[in-house]
Amino acid sequence: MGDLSQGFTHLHARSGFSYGFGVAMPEELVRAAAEMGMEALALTDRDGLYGVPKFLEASAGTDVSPIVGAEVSIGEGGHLVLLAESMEGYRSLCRLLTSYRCGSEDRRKPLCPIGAVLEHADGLVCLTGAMPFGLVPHLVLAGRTGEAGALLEVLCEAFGEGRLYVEITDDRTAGSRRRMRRVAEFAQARGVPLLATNEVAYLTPADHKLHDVLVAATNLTALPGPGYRPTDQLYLKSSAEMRTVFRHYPEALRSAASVAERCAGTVELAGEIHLPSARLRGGETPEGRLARLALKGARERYGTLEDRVRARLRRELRCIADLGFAPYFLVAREAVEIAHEKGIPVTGRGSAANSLVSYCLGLTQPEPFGNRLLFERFMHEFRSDAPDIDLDLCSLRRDGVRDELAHRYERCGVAVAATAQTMSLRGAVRVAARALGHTPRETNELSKHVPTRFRDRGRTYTPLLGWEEALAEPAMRGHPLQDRERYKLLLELSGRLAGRYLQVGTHLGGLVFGNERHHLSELAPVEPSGMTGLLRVQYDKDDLDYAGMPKLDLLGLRMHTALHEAGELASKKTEGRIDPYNLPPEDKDTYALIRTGRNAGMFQLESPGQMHLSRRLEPRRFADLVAQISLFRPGPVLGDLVTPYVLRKHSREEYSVPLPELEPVLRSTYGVLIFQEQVLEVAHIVAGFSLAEGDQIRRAMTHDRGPGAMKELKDEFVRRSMARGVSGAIAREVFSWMEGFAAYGFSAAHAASFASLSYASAYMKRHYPAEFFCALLNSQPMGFYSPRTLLNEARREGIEVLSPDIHLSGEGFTVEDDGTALRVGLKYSKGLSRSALSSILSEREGRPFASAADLYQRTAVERDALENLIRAGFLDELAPDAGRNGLLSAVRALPKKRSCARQRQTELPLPHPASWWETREGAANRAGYLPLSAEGRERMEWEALSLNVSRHPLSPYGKVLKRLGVTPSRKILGLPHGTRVQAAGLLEELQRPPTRSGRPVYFLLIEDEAGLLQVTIFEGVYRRYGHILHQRGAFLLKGKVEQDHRRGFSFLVERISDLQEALTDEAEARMPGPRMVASSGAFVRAKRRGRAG
Amino acid sequence: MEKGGELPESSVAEIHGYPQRPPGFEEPLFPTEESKRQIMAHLLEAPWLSRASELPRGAGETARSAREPIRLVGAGSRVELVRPARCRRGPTRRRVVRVLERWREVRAWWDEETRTDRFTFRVLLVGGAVAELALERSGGWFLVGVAD
Repeated sequence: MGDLSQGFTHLHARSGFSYGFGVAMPEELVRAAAEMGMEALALTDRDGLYGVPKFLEASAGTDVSPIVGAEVSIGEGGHLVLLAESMEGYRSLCRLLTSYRCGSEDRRKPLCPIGAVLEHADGLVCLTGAMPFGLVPHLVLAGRTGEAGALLEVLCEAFGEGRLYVEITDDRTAGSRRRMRRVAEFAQARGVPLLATNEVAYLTPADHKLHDVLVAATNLTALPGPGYRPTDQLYLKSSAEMRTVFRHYPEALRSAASVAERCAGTVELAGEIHLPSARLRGGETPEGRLARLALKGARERYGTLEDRVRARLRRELRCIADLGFAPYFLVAREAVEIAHEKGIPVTGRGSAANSLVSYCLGLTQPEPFGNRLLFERFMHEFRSDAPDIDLDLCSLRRDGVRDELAHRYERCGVAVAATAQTMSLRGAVRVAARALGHTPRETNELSKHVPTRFRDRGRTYTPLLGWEEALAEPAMRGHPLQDRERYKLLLELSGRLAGRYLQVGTHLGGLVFGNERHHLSELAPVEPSGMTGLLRVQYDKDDLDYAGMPKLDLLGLRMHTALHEAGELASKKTEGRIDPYNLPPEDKDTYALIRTGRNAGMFQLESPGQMHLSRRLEPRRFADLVAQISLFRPGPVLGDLVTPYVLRKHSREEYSVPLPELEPVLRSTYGVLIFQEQVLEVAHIVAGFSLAEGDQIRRAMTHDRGPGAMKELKDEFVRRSMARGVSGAIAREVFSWMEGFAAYGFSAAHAASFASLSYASAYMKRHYPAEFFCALLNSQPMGFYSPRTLLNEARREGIEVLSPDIHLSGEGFTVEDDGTALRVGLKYSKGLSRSALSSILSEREGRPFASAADLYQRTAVERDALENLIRAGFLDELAPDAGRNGLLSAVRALPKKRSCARQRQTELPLPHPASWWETREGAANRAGYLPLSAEGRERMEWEALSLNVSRHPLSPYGKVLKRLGVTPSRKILGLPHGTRVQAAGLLEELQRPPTRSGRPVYFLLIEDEAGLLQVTIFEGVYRRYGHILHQRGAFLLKGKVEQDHRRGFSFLVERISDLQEALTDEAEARMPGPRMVASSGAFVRAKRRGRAG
Repeated sequence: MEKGGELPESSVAEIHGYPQRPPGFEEPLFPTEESKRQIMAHLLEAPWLSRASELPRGAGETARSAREPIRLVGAGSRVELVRPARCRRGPTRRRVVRVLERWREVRAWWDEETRTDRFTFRVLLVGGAVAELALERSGGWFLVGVAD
């Protein structure tokens, strides 16, 4: 580092990780500092180190030396800035932040007692806080100089000479110079050196508005937020500007340089991996225990151990021991053990399934040899990062395993990871609108239909760059924000806020551990998560790798919940044990069902794309499922790997491999490189690379390392290939081929882990359909489809749907009539609380309900909820003559219950199983009902249950639809190429996935009485008719069928119209239709709720 | 007053309940330019004082705020404030003796009617008047406050 005294170093700078008190990303601050020629920069976020990993990572590639610190809110008022001058200081700061964040009454507004600061002063430099709100300045400026002096003395004593500075700042508001002079005189009188900072909160003066909005948003108020300062000067000023501002205080500039010199680059998080300390019996080593357990597991799985098993176990255990990862495997195994003890379904996912040790420990399920899984894809001696073991557990009971594991390891500290949450454009509109004083209703109106972003496998796709594009979207036709003049400020603010940090969330399943050497609170600050007893580490889940803190992911998977229940129901039916995790393999009927494409409810196979692929690929064995799951990913779709694979599988296209030696590797995938593991094997066979070296090539190809690095790799590959007798031309061809495919590859281990669950769910659907659908409907929210569509799918599979009945319905759906019928459960009735539901179940045990009034009197059901029960049809049997309207009239005459008679606080209704989508941001208007309904009963059911109980909503329109020239969806699938046809259906989902060409293509999924149909809408048609898709819930689609031997079926839409309008012309009454919401992951979607990130 | 005792010492400020004068300032209050500056600085920070530029018109105070366009005419190091002609009187000119203070204001930017975005200068004019002049972001100088 050069001479810092020539420039200036900002030692008090907040980023967006101050969540509401800072704007810039750490990367932006570093970039700007580098551009200004600064040699160091401190990050001092408020009450946290959330942004430190990103800050350090961003600094690594620049000449800016990072300084780690925090702005600590003090209980006595004001704040201090603490900077780490060593790793010891970093650990002190982590401990201090943990201590007061965990001890504060209000976790959202933590306050640090000054005594705690004094206790944790080791290795830290203290600045007394910016003006006017800093700890010492606020006392001095309030005239409480005596208190300020006393405070300064105790700080001096704790931090010692040279580690305490009185901070002076100039925000250029009226009187700022005088204030600065007063504080300076105060410090000089006490012999404490001054230090100049600018309390940076944003990057440029123009960003002060964003800062003010975020402060207001964090405090849920309109502008001005609390502590508002009329300034735009808290930006990252250049060295020259800072030297001008503080020209009368040269010693303050010198102090800044001196502290920067001492603290710059002292905190390093990368490089060291902090693994948990395993719980061992006396005399055991982690490696010894792991070896014993792996061997035991191997014997259980393989019986007598073949040499290849022994050799591979030896190799894997040696590598694990060399890298010191044995404790991590043992902790993961303990989690599995806890799950088994509690009877909770658990499976592994991800690349960990490449390891035989993982398989033998029961962490993963796919057998490594049979599935050609390679340990080196998971870990090897050259990998510097920590391995990642992910476990999927039944989502309802996952917390039990997590909490038990946390309890066992609490001595060294256990916490879950944080998630740094950023704003979408829609979210930014909401934040800005509220700050500008719009009412909640106006805010909803303004944010509705604003296009948002979507995520896929950790990548965020933002289809729109800014307002220009967003306002041109059909979804925003007629939107209030089109009045650009009126909403100029809102548009400006939200456009600039989008993508910025708003708040911190919790990754409920990502556990990190401390160890014997360092308690977790010394590795990173820990804070309360908001859930009782659950602590959260401040680093984002994606930053833990950088910080050398491997996390153990205990993920909640609803499919486990559903499979578990389906297994129980099937066992009850057959009076035998049906274990969905131990089913007969390679069941022909199961594959036959998958090939039909009627896959709703099947894990990973149920999306429209996968349904389509199932019909094209025609899977017949487990390996086909593994390939199918791998192929329908953005990568392979973008790289068009699907078509050659399908054509070659069906022998419609020849394939060849560059070298005959590669045939065994590529035979199973017909010469297409699908799996990342194949890249390792190809490099091994052609160039003699070890598998570990092959993995390095794969990683280099996957993560862009720049043309220089790739050229070096290629040269080495060609050189070593030629040394083995392969011609240079072939070697270069193979390398380019690998390079082309590697970016799209998918881990076979991950796909195989998922395929096991796909097979299990397909098997259960094929052999126990009522039990399977019942379990799905009871495990909501989950999967791709709304409960309404799932129930209609069940009906299409021949399962009868029985009406709700207050005496026969269970809590959830139940299977009746020996597995041929499903009855709607009580929890689908809107507005029912947990206690109301329990009281119904217990009261009817004693004696049946005689009337609605009797039910009302004997249970905890509130009047509104009772009305919903009546509307849903639960009480039809109680008053067959009066009918639902008669019951409703009678109920309205009943007195309203006083909630305090039963309990002190009114109990909130249970979340409705089909109402998840209502909580999503930007829910759109209810789509109009379809006309026609004989008695309005179906409409009532729809409103109270969000289900079509009696029949499909299009059922009554068979003749009308025929007159309109509509063809049922199932028939359309089989029409010849070029047929012009008309389809009609209810909205299920509209998506815009990434495409190979980059041009937008929209996929609309509709549902009619016959089933589901995905249609394709190109940009021109979308521009013209897209607004209908966003404003209505049922459509009439005119288009053309394409049957391509390469790509299979598609329905290209040419014209879209509102089905309701079309039917209104034909009929008069009304029928229920789906509600429609905007959602992330899709533009609009019927009755859906997002899955976990 | 204690019966039979000496009269206690009381300042005029105490008797009238006025705020105390700042500690350390002995009478006479304004013997030098420096002491005047210190007193001014103290008063400006007193919470019961208002800045001229923040006072509404017609508040009945000697200081008042305004937003009156002005011109600044410079000649060498000499700067003059020129107020445009009003009624029958011609334009008035005052020489700026020196800048007492300067600051930046970006207030209420979200409110079209009250938003402020300007650099403000408190200046001493010939004759002893103190005026606040603002250079607004939209352009132009304004007289925004006068302390007579």
